[in-house]
Order: sequence, then C-alpha cells, then structure tokens
Amino acid sequence: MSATSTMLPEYVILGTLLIAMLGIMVSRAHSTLPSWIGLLGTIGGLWATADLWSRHLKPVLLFNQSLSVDNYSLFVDFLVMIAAGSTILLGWQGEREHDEFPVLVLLSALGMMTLGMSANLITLFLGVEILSLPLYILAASHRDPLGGEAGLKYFLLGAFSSGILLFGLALIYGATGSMTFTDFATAVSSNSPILAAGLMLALVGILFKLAIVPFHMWVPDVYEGSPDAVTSFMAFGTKVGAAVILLRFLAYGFYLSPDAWGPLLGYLALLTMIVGNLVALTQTNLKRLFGYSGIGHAGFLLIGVAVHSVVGARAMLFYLLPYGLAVIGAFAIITMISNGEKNVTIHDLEGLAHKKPWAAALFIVFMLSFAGIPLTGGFIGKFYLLQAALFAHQPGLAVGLVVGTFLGLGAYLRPLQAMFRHESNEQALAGWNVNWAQIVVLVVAVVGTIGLGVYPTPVVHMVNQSANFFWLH
Amino acid sequence: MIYINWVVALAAILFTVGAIGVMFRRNPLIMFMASEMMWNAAALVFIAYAREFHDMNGQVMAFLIMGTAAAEVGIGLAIIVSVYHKRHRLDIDEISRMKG
Amino acid sequence: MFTNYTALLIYFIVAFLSAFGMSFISNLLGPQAPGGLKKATYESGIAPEAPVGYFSVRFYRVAMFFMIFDVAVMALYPWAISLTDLRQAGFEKAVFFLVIVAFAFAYVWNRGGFQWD
Repeated sequence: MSATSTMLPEYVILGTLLIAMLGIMVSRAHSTLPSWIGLLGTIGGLWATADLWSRHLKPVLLFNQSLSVDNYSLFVDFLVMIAAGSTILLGWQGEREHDEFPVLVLLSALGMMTLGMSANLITLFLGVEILSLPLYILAASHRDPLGGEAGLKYFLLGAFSSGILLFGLALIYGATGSMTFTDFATAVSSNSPILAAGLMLALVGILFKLAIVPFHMWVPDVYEGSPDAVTSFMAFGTKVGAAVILLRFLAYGFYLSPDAWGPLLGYLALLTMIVGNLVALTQTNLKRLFGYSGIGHAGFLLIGVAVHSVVGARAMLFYLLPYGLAVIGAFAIITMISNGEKNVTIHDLEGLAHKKPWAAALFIVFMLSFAGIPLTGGFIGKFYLLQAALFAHQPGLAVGLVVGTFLGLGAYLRPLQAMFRHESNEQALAGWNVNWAQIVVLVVAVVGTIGLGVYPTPVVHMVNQSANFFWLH
Repeated sequence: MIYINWVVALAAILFTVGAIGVMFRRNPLIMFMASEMMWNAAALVFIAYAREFHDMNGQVMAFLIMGTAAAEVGIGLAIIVSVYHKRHRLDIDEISRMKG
Repeated sequence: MFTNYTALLIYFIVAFLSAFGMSFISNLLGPQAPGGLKKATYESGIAPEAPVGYFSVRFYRVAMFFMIFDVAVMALYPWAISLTDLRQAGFEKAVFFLVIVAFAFAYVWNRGGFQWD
C-alpha cells in the first residue's frame, strides 16, 4: 500500500481545502461556494475513511515511522469529519461574511487527523500546531471587541502551552535519543530525571489543550467570545485531537511505567470532573455553561487514559462520539436562538417549550445525553467509563464519575427549567432563525444520540477494533 | 568542547525566563515574545541533542519549530494589531465626540 | 594562552569600547538642549502632520508576508544540500511543497494582500 492510498482521507481534506481556496478566488465575496466545497470534501473524507475501514488493512507506519495508519486513526478521522462537517453547517449563515471560514475549519481538522495518526514527536508537534493556528484566527473572528480579546487570550495561552509541550518533547528526545514513541520505553532506564521532567512538561502541554482543571482557565472566556460555530468545533474537535494524542502518546511511549503518570492523571481527572461540573452549576451564559461542562467531560475522558487498560481506551474513544453529537446538537439550537448576534443566556431560553416545542424537545435530548440519562448515548459512554474505572480497581475514580454526573445533571437541569418557565422576558427568542443547515446538524445529532443510546453495538464494535492499537507496542 | 549539559542548562534558563515573562507581564506583545523564547529554548535543546547523537531528527524538528513559530507570529501579531486597532478607534471616537 | 582567537577577543573589546565610548563621551561633552523640534518625528525634513503613535496596518502586512514566505524558503536549504542523496523522491516532495507555497502566494495576491492602498 502506498502512502497516497492509506492516507486518502487526509489527502481528500488537503485537496478540498485547496479547492475551497480556489473557490474563494473565483467567486464573489460572501458566496456559499467555499462552504459547499468544504461540505462535499468532508463527505468525501467520510467516504474515504469508510472505504479504508472496510478493507481491514493491517496497521502501517509511514514516513519513517512518523505516522501510523490503523483503525484508531481511522476512527479519529471519522469523528473529526463529523466535527468539521457540522461546524461548516452551523456556520453556514452566521459565518458567511468570513470567506475563509470553511478553509480554516478544514485545516484545523487536518491537524486533528494528524494527531490521530501521530507516532513520533515531530508529527505530535505539527498536529498540535496545525490544529491550533487556524483556531486562533477563528476565535478572533467575531465582530465585537470581545471576540478579538477571546482570540488574543486563546492565542497567548496556546503559544505558552505549546512552548511547555515543546520543551517537554525536547527533553524526552534528549533522554531517549529517539523521536519515535515506541522507542521511549525501551531506550533508557525509566528513572532518568530528564525523561521524567520531559514527560511532565509534555503532559502539561497536552492537558492545557484538553482543558484539565489546573490548566482550564482559558476555556470559559474563549468559548464566550468565539462565534457559536467555532465554539462547537473547539468543544468537540479540540477535545478529540488532544484526547487521542494523549492516549497514543502514553500507550506507545510509556506503557512500561504507568505508575509514573497513571495516579497523577487519575487525581487530575477526579479534580476536573468535580470542579468543572460544580462551576457549571453557577453559570447563566449558555456558552460558559458548556465550557465548564466541557471541562467536566474532559475529566470523564481522562479516566479512560488514567486507568491504562484497553477497556479504558475503548471507553474513552466511545465517549467522544456521544459527547460530540450532543455538543453539535446543543450548539445548533444556540445558533438558532442567537442568530450570530448575541450571547445566549439561560433567560433567552424562557418560553422555548411553548413557542418552539420541537426545538425544546431536541434540546432536552441533548442535555440528557450530556447528563448521562439512559436511552441516550451519554449513558452508554458513562457506563463504559465506570466499568473501566472498576476493572482497574479504582473505586475513587468511579465515585468521582458518579458525583460529577450528579453535579452535571443539576447544571443541565437549569436551562431545561428555564425553557418551561412562562415568558417573563419579552426579548427572548426575538432573533429566532432557522435554516436547512442547522436542521441537518440537528437530525444527525439527535439520530446519533438516541441511536447510540438504544443500539450502540455497531459503534462498540468499531471502538473495540480501534482500541486494538493498544497491544501493538 | 561544549558539554551538552551546559547547553541544556542554558536552554532551561531561557525557558524559565520565558515562562516567568508570560506569567508576570501584562502586555500581550511582551507575553508573546516571552513564549517565543520558550519555543526557542526547546529548539536549542533539540539542536544540542541532535549534535550529541549525530541524529538528523532533532535538526529537522528545529527547522519545523522555526517555520511554525513564523506562522504563529504572523497570526498572533494580526490578532494583537486588530485588538489594538479596535480599541484605538474607540478612543479616537470618544475624543471626537467630546469635542463635538 | 595566546591562541588565534585572542586577537579576535581583543578586537571585540576594542570595538565595543570605542563604539560605546564615542556615544558616551558625546553625550557627556555635547551641549544639552532637549525639547522643541528635537522631539518631533523626522520625515525627510518635512514637518510631520499625521498623528504620531498610530501607523498604518500596511507596514505590518508587508512585514508579515515577507516573514511568512521567507521562512517557507528556509525549508529549502536543507533540501538543496541533500538533493544529490534524495534524488527523485526528494525532488517530488519539494515540488509538492513549492506548489502549495505558490498557491498561498496566488491566494494572497488574488485577495489584494500585496496592494499598498
């Protein structure tokens, strides 16, 4: 197999973004052509991913062992395609004045796909940067001054965390003499202080991107200031990219010394689950609420990494899908209410259940999936995470998961309660606006959420195949 | 002969200075400059170890760090300029309103 | 002790001392008359008129494009050195890279990034 055919999804996305740039050049300003090209490209990427998946290829290492194409990377491609496609659809109307919007989304998606395949330090760094750089621009693209400041804050903290990550990678390279993940464990005795320092710094850098609690302070402000579609991309795509690289980096490079990082990540997961969901309880701005609840969900994801078992890897991979579907669905409703103009607060939801019952019903489904109520995908995801924590004899993590879930339930019930309140707020739903693109996202999200809750078997099967990378050190 | 540890110690000092700069300065340009310093400290470590190991990967990484840092500077300065531009305009508007 | 580099060291010390000494002594001995025209911006002898401290985004834009494309070319140096070993495979990859850089150039050009006004 040549590199071109095994990396077909990535080449499709690269080609699509070049064609979309060409489309911007030939069409007049603010046309829908670049968005159409981007959307067709993501569908093409999905098709290429499905085609590669159906061929049951053996895992291959490409480019001097720097990229590893296997079921894991294909599953990540699949998630990233959903994130990118839904973001382009959500920004169909609101981001029309930014011609480059679909191009930047696809470029960032390419970074996430690189992180899914990454098997050495060079591609890890490049993936993180290709993911981040377009997102800085997107975060700063809002018209009001708040948007510029969100972009500035994201950018400064992103550059800072990339610096920490990079220094950690440099020390790992120095301690082991190799760039390839799989060489780290066997290169030197694992108690080298330089290796330990490098691992800690690299973990801090990745946890910054994943927004784990001591390193989470940028999330709410950036989410609030960014355009709605971009926020949904950050909440879904960035978490996918950071979580999958964390899992592969630790499982390939440091599988012989899980005691060095497992307990640390476990405590951080516990802290993140509790703090993120607790602070989410007090938020009134919906995007800040999803920011903090996203921090809590990052804590749930971290359980799957911290337990260092194949069950944990499967649970984490599975959890990304229901979480992401609920995010894109909830943000589709938010874009309908905000119409790209204002920041939606809980008070803007008042009367939604009476005026737009179908939207309220869908919103309830997504909130319940976030909270992990049975018959939604979130419940199955939390169930597998709980199972992983118990199989690894970590009752503390299991208790933290349950407590975090209950706190989160409280946070998600407040918007629902507001929806059923009678409209005391005359201005609520004044800017209500629906277009077909948001409907498509809503349909995909709700079918996926309920489908995963009722019949998760096919996805569980896919995830089990993806997590097989765990044995291929 | 320069010992590798000295180079790494120098890089660690640069990294620490950069990290302290990001954490304690409040001017975005200075903060950004400080984080670039952290990147360059990492590039220095990569080059030093690449020379030690006679391995090309570290030097490739240093080149990529330089290229990425340039892209980062382009984007970052654009964001900083646009934020200041908005604020500057706002200030000028206030002044003209006060006069008129 | 007296190696080839000692001469270079002495040269550096002398150059440093003379450069700093000259500027320091002129500051010490010269007449001091601060303020007035001396604080104004020098614009080729013409009296400055634009508000000081606020300059156009154009300058920044030119600097940024220069830097981006300059650094893109930087990646070609290691390739040029090892071209004889890389042969055709290396050549193809460099062409791929250059096509993408040229595409970015065309995009910026098309979007009016290089226009001064």
